Amino acid sequence: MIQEFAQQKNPQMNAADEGGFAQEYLTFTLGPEEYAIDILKVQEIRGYEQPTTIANAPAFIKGVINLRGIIVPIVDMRIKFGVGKAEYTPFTVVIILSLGNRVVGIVVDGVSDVTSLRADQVRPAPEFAATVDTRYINGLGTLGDRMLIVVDIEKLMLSGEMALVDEVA
Amino acid sequence: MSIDMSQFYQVFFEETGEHLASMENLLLTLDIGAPDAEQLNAIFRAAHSIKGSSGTFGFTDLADVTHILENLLDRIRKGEIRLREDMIDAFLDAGDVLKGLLAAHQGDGEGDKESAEAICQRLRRLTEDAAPAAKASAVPPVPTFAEPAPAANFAANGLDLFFVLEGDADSIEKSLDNVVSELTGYGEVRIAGRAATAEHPWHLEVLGAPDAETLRGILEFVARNDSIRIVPLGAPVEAALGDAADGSYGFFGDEPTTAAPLEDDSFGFFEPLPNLAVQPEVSPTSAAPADESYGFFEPLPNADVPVEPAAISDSPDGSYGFLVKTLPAVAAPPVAAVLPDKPVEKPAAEKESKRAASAAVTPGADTSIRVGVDKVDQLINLVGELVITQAMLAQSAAQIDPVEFERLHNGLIQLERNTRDLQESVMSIRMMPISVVFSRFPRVVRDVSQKLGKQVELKLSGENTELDKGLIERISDPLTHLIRNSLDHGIESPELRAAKGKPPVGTITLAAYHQSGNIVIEVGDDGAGLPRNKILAKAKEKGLNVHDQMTDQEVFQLIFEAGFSTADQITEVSGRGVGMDVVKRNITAMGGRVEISSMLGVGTRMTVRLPLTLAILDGMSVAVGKEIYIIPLGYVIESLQAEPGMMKSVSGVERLIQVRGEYLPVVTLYEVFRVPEAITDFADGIMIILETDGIKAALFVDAMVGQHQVVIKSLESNYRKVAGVSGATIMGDGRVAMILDVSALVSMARHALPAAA
Repeated sequence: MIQEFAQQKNPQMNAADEGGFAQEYLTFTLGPEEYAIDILKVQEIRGYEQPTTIANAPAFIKGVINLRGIIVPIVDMRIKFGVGKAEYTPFTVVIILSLGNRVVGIVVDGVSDVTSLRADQVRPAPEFAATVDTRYINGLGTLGDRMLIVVDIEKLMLSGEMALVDEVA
Repeated sequence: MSIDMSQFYQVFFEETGEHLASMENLLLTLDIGAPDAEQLNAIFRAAHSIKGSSGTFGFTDLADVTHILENLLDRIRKGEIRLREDMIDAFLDAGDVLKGLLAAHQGDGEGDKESAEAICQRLRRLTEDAAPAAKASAVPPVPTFAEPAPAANFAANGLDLFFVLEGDADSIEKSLDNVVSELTGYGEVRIAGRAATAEHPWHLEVLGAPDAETLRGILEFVARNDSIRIVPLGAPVEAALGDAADGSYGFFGDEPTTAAPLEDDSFGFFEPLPNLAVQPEVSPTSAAPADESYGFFEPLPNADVPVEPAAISDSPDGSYGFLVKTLPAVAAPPVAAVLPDKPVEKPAAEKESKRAASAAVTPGADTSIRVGVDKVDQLINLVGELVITQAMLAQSAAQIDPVEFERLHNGLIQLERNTRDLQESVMSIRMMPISVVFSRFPRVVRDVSQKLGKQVELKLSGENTELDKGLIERISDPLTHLIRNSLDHGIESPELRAAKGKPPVGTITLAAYHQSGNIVIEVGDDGAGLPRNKILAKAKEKGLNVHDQMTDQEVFQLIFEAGFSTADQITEVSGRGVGMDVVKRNITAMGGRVEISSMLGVGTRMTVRLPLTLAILDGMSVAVGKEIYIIPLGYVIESLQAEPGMMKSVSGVERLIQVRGEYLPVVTLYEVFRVPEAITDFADGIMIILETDGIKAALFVDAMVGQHQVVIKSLESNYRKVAGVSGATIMGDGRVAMILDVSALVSMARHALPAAA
């Protein structure tokens, strides 16, 4: 179930393309919306296992799991953003993110694929009501008839809103 | 120097640190009345290595101090100057100054130039003070060159120095200026002859009564080592050159007759066995043991000139200091002479010899490697996972037919054994002998007892007891405090001791050993002992909750209260009442505890018990609902099942439990952590009585599960601090369990109480 993406794939440098450098993204769905995150922030994708709950944590923090000796908190993005059904089946996946020196797991509706987007395919996001606050949105990617919301996952996860880091007093 | 030296700085810092530490240790064990020659040599070697390498790396301030230090040490070890107590003090202080300078070079603050200068002055004075005595003594001044005859008059006149400087014109000028200014400290300097070419030697005259070896030491920093010639002033240059051809370079001053003649292949190096040099039957393999540390000789067997290296390995210690001392000077000529056809070998050999010299003074350097702690921790983590995986496999295998799958079973048993061994060895990587900490205490005891005018002997035992590196770092401060405390309050003054019929020299014992999975460190003294009555009186005065029926153990624990001191007067060392509480807090934070046993007039013994590693905790697992929590065992006093009569309500809420006459607040874990499906009836669950910082409380849980040693994992590295939880651990089945922060829970209970009431 464990697939290592990040270590193997580097963003393809298709400088020859007119639109400039292409970057690879992992796309996942959250309710009806499709999101794209920088593949280099993804450490691995694994199946959901029941985490150990943390006392007095917000509901969207499901708890912590043991990832090969490291204690990793698991955030259910579906609960956090109130989309999709927060049910846990054998097919529920967790994306393990490596953000700086922190490791965090997120539960999403489903992982779609790995796509590469050139810079000219990503348009600045207008002010709009997405599930995720526009502050954390880098832009909108177009891929055929799909619209991908490109999220700065590191900024989002380490923001105070996710309650994953100690607030700086 | 064209090579970029900065890449070697870290190695230099570490090595120098080690040399300084070993120097200090040796100085402290030195018997002033009858110093052991071997120890003196070892101290000298340490100083010399520091000087050599700091000179090489361009840390002149370090080199300057060690240079003077080395001179004095050299004369002491040769018996020219008698070792005195104040010299040891000066040496120790010089060591401190050097440490400061070293730290400054490592970017840790500013180097204290003044103290460096002050210590140089002090050492010089010591050298000078002792010098006349040395001259008058029966031991003849060490002749610093081969011919003894001119030795008689050189001191009066001065010396001629010949040497070749390397580098371009600019750097030569600079080095020359340095040399001249440095030499001026020893006598009047005159440049008698300037070098026409790079190969031509410079000629300096130094008037006064300089010591040839001292000057050589200075020159070694700048000049090509093999080019230095020092002859008495006015001696014919031919003599100087003749002297130069003599391989011994006057280094064999102790036995002037050993100076080897020019044609002797051994260059005086193998003087004890001069003929061995031409014994071809000596197997070159005999060089093997010496090879590592004396790589200097490596080229020789290849050149089919089997100079006998065994001569050196036979008496490594004897030749050791000698090797280190003379290497820079003689390394090149012998090789060049033995291999006249291969001058290319020379620089290599020189480099090799330098490496050999540094390797030789840090024995065992090649048997250990420095690895980052994070790598070790990573390894420990992975092995932990392996153990869990192995346990999982074993569990699955238990369900299959052992007859049919016999080989699988055998393989799994083998795997289990190997995993366990692997885990043990990996855990032992983090372990270090406690001698790392103990080694600093002789100095502490010496300094403090001197300050207090007491005579104290420190006895160490169990220095090889191993404990976790993290603990080693954190135990040193509390231990230092305990020792200072024993010195100040424990050991009496010599007069008082004599009056009590005790030997005037007090004894402090420091012992470490393993006991039932703990490390025990004892600090004992044969001093006055703790005055129970005085402590009790003081405690009453301070309004502490005490009574006369308290056990000695309980009374003695009072000295760990903040601000508690029975000292009649505050001394420089201790007595302000701060410190012991910090000691206790630090030790508790490490998961350890302190016990005191004491008898008035006989002595006191403080026993510190620590877990083997910081990363492992003895825990009791308890169940609440579906969750498992770990309580550090150190806090658990007892557990009991509450009977209806024991629960007392405050304002209608059952919040207190009466245990043996004491009313304890009850912390209901399912409420604090909002655990669903937990037992809510006090009669059905278990009360665990906890104590922290002298406060007791009862923790209500569903059931007790078991007792484990758990590996502490940080929750904060990927998450944040959680109130009431101090960390997490991974249980045998791979699941995560939270470790309770007992102090926080207990204080939560105390704060929650008024709200509930």
